[in-house]
Amino acid sequence: MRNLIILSLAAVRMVSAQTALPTEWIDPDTGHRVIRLSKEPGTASLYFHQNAYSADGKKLVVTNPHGIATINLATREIDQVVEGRVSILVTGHKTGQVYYTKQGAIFATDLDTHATREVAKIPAQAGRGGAIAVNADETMLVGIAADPDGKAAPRTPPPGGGGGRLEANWAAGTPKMLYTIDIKTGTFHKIYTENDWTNHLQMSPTDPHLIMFCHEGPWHFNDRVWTIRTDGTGLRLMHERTMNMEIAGHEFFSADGKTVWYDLQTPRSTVFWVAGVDLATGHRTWYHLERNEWSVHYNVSTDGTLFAGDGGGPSSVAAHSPDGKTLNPPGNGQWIYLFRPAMVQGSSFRDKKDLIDIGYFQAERLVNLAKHNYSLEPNVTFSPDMKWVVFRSNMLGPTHVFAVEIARQ
Amino acid sequence: MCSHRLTLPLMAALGCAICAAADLPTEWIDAATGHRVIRLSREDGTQSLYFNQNAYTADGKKLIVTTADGGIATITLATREVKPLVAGRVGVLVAGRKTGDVYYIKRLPGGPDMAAGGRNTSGATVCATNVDTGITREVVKLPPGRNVSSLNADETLLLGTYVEGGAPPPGPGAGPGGGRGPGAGGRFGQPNYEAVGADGKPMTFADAKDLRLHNSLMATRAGAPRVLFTVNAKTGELKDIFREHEWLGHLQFSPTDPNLIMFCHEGTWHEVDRVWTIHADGTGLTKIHTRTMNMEIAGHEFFSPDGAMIWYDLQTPRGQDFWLGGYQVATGKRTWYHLQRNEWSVHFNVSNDGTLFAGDGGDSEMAARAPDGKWIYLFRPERVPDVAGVKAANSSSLIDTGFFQAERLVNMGKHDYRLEPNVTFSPDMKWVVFRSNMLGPVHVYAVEIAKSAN
Repeated sequence: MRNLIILSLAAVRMVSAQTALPTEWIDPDTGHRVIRLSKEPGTASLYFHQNAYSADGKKLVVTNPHGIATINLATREIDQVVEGRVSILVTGHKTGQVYYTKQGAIFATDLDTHATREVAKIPAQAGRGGAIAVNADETMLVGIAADPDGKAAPRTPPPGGGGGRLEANWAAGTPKMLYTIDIKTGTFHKIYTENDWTNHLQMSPTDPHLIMFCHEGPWHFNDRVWTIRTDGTGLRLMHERTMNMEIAGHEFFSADGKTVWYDLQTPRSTVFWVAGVDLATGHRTWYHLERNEWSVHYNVSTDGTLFAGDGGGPSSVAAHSPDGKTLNPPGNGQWIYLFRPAMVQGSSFRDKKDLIDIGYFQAERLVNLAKHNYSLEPNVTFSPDMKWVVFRSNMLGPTHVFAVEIARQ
Repeated sequence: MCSHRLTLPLMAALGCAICAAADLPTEWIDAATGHRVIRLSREDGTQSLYFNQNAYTADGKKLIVTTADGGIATITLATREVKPLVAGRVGVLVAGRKTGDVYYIKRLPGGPDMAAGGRNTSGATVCATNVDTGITREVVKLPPGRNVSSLNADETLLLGTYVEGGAPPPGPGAGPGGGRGPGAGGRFGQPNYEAVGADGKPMTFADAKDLRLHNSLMATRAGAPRVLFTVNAKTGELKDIFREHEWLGHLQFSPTDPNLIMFCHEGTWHEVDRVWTIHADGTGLTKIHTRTMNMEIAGHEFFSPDGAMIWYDLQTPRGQDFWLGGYQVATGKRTWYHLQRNEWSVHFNVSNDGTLFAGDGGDSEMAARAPDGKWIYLFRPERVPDVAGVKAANSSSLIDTGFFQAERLVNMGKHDYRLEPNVTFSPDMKWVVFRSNMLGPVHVYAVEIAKSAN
């Protein structure tokens, strides 16, 4: 009884704290309007490369302590779409339905009618499941799981290694597989196996048969970014390092599926780029960033003309010198950034068509994240109308979803 | 009578120059850096050599400089004694690595002014003078149309370029000193580049220089081939070793391998593959740096004193990211040291033991557009460690990267960078030597690497 009363009191206090948080303001350091889209603490927007918008572009899909909700970007109306503990996957590019896993199966729910269907069961071969993605035309699911037929091929961690989860997972050499499930027939195919730490699964937003994945672990000793076809052919490394401690990662597709973009550092903590490779031609374009513009995740607008970044925290690569010392004054920038790409002046091409095209980002600060704790990654996305940058933040205390207007007040 | 009348005003002018120099400080502690700076020269207009010309005698005690009247003098580093060595207007080449003799080019009577980078139209002589005895020997005669600009490690070969079939188009010259840009000369050691931009406004010196270099490059590629040739220092035998439709310059022999030549494709750096080596017999042509990105530039290359490394200014791309790129001659292994924008230098250099680097900074109009780059710098290289000792599988074939810890040695705030300071390390590695107009007239300076106790 006594406990119940205390709980209720806590709940009341939470609600009042909640109502005290601002819902809209002009960031005094940037002049941009910031809107808190969520009302309930613990509401978060999705990981940066997961499609989180409805097919008509009007609704944003978020997670909250109850399940999955949508927020209407125009009216800010919140609609609880899925109740219960689920793992969200992505919204489908074709139907706009939200895909998620729950109790051994993949489900899809209509954002307007809430009508829900079971899409497929997680195959027995995939054990408890793992990462799952939905392809562009929503005909196929792709997953990563431990390969039940494989053997572990442990890799020796280097002497004097730092230890930790990343290194231990890397060293385990667990057999992994990529598999597909045909949604119509339920047919399971194991398409690729390896003893690397397969991760960061995503499907092209336009090519139903193109998969991107990574070799997870400490970035500087992995060739990280790979694509492969859904039939297991065409394995392709997106970036090959030329220098010691060069790192590439946090890769994502452009909205038209033509380009793969990624965070590139040549070498780590020294020179910063957002690098892109045109999948059809192999042509590369790299945009240079200043150290304090480095962002844990980048994103690109639907039309490919604007980029955004979520800045970096005090333990990030940007905060450190090449030899790993913490920079003073700090090197990291705690801001939500808008980036306008510009190309360098002049041409060295002559007959050398394979040179990397070079540009740089003109950065504009959108939101001051000085009070944000980067243990939560903000994960910027552009709203489909390209008027807003959406992110999650704990800058007011509890985690909420925010949108900042790209136009300045 | 005639000569007497000429001499008097000349004497007066000289007296005046000495007066002016006497007013200038000879030694001070740089207030911004705490390092001791010494003015080594007394006569206004005295200059140290281009950064890749060996300017130290074999015993390391004397520095070779050029004088205002086009001659050569030595400065004893310990005593600061200035001693004239060669009178008259000559083109200085280098201090020989073997004998320590100073090599230079002297025109024949009526010929061009070699001290001003003149073209040898009527024949010239390469001479060598012993720095201690002052005894001069004639090394070899050069036929009309030929200049040389480098001497090999054992002093048996000289190196030059010429334009096949006649005179080059106006602009690029291959003057002594090895490709210091087109027609080195004038008040700052390079032409007074001027041009008007598309907006009708005058271009900056740096932009005008870029345009001029581009035009010269296009003219060179469209014109007659350029030829790299050697002259046997004993027999005078001329040997063409390489020809191409590129603007050849920045000629230098390895300081240790008598058969290794480095040269460049001169011009706008982003439009050329600049740095090359070739053997003295014309074999083994090697491109030292291949760009991977648009507007990536490499240049102002030089050998380490042991001849094992080639170092060069590398920008990926131009004006954005700054490195000193290094290439190990024997293995092709690369080491790049990263620099901050303000630390970029028009020329870099390396100490005798390879442990220290120096740079002469740059002004806000030059490639780095550095807001605060007018300094003489000392650089201590640091390698980027492999985190936790982990290496990528292909580590050995990767570029080794590091960065420079920079220390400011001299505030060059008052220096006009149209004169390039051209840092060199003294052989004892206690001093960085450079030239500067920071006090008005050009003088030669040394800054102490150790911080002053005062």
